Amino acid sequence: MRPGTLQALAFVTLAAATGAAARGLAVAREGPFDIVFVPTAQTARWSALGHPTLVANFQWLRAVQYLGEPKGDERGWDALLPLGNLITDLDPRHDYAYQVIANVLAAKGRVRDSNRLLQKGVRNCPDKYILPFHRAVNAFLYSGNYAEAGRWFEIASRVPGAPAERMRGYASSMYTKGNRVDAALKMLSDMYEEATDDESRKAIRQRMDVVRFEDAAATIERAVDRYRQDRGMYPLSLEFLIFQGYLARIPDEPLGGRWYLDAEDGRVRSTVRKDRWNKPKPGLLSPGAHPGAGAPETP
Amino acid sequence: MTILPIALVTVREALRRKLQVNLLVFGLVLVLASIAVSMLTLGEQRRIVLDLGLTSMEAIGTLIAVFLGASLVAGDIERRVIYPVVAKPVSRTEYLLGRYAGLAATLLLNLAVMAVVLALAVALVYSRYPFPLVPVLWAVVSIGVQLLVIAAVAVLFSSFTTSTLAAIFALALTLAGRLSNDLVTLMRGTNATLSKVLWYLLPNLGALSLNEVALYGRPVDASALVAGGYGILYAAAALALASLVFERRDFR
Repeated sequence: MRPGTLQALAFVTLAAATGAAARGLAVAREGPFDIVFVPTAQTARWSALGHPTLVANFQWLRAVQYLGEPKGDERGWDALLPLGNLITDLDPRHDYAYQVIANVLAAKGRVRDSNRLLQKGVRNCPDKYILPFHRAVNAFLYSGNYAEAGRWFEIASRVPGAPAERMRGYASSMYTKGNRVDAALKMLSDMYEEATDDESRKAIRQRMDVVRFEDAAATIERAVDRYRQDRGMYPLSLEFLIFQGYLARIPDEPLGGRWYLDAEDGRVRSTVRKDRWNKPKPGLLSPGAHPGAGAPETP
Repeated sequence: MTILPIALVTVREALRRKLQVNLLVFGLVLVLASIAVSMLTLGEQRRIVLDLGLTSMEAIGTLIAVFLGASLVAGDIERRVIYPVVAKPVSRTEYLLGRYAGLAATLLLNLAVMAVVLALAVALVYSRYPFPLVPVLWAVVSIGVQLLVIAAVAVLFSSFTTSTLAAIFALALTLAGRLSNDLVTLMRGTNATLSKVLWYLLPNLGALSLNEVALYGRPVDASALVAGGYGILYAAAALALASLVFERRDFR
């Protein structure tokens, strides 16, 4: 036997055995990507050894993975705000983190969390107009508070380098309570143009779909309310609204589900989306004019 | 002028050492790996490349400074190379300063090589953005000052103990120096005096990190210049102490 043959044989055999063992290892995670523990900013700062921005960037990469999880809705979004706070505590000028995380939080119905994060961003990055702009959109879309939305648009318009004319236009349309659905879609499409990554665009597209959904649902609901006022009861089905002349046609369901009337509260819902925004607050809006008035109902 | 020849010998010797070459190659790989890591992010790819690249340069530079610095004088004593040198008309301080100058030149050379590679990596992802050249240069210079401080600390330990112990002490002091600002915050109240003493003794390396300035392209303010001056003074003080200890040291 030539010298080294035994060793070569041993190597090949052991390498093959290792490869076979590796095939048995669990490679893919069964469940969706989740973050069970978010350290406090103080702990993370200590472990950063004088490099808080580096730790913030690593936490940002975790956040990106968390945001991009396809089964995110099934898993829930509980870690998103703590993660956003951690990143922005370590690196308060990370404007993109405020923007993306707040955008996704709002799209997932966590508007209060989204507002809190955006306001922190406005304090820490006073040179970024996009943050008060997003805050204004939240006030407009979800709280239906036009005075507040107008104030945030004004703040955005005063930031150096901001498209001041556009921001002032929004502010004035807020104050005059102009064409709200069109304005909402216009603002969201502006946000879409500003977004530089697919995750943000996806979240904005979802928000646009929800605006269209709420608009259509509110149209049906107005007919339901008139029906109830006239007849003292809810219609047995939505088709009754057409038969009795309250609606010319049932608007399409933009999310791809089927409309139904919830007998418990008289709200129009969809088979694919049970959540609805609150009805407009009396006195704040002309009745039923705006689909997004009121804070979103907690799922 | 005997410092210069000793410094040149030190540079030649350092460049031949496997440790330094391996660490440098590893540093270059890390800087380039930052491009791969940056692909995992959403937008703002440049901040990941720059932050990771600058920190890699700092970490690898620190390791080279500690391990080369620790073995510089102590290694000469352990290998008995020091005897023919001190027998010549060369003062111990000149020898020490020559060795330190050589080490400093090696470290700055390494830093320059890593900076060129980082510049290439950054050029790949910054093509669509304006590149904050001046703030990044300042960040690299401040890493250079950090390395000078760490090297001086390593030479100080190397002047009175073995190379292994000197490396351990220097590394521990470097880590503590990175935490010195947080230490003051943590030890407010009853331990305030102790934390203040520690804050003065430890090298404040956190103040010498300008990564944030580079990431946001911010102009460098006076505090960064003060920090740079502080670093140079700290290194000089450490070398003065090293010289004091080394002059009195008995080689037997």
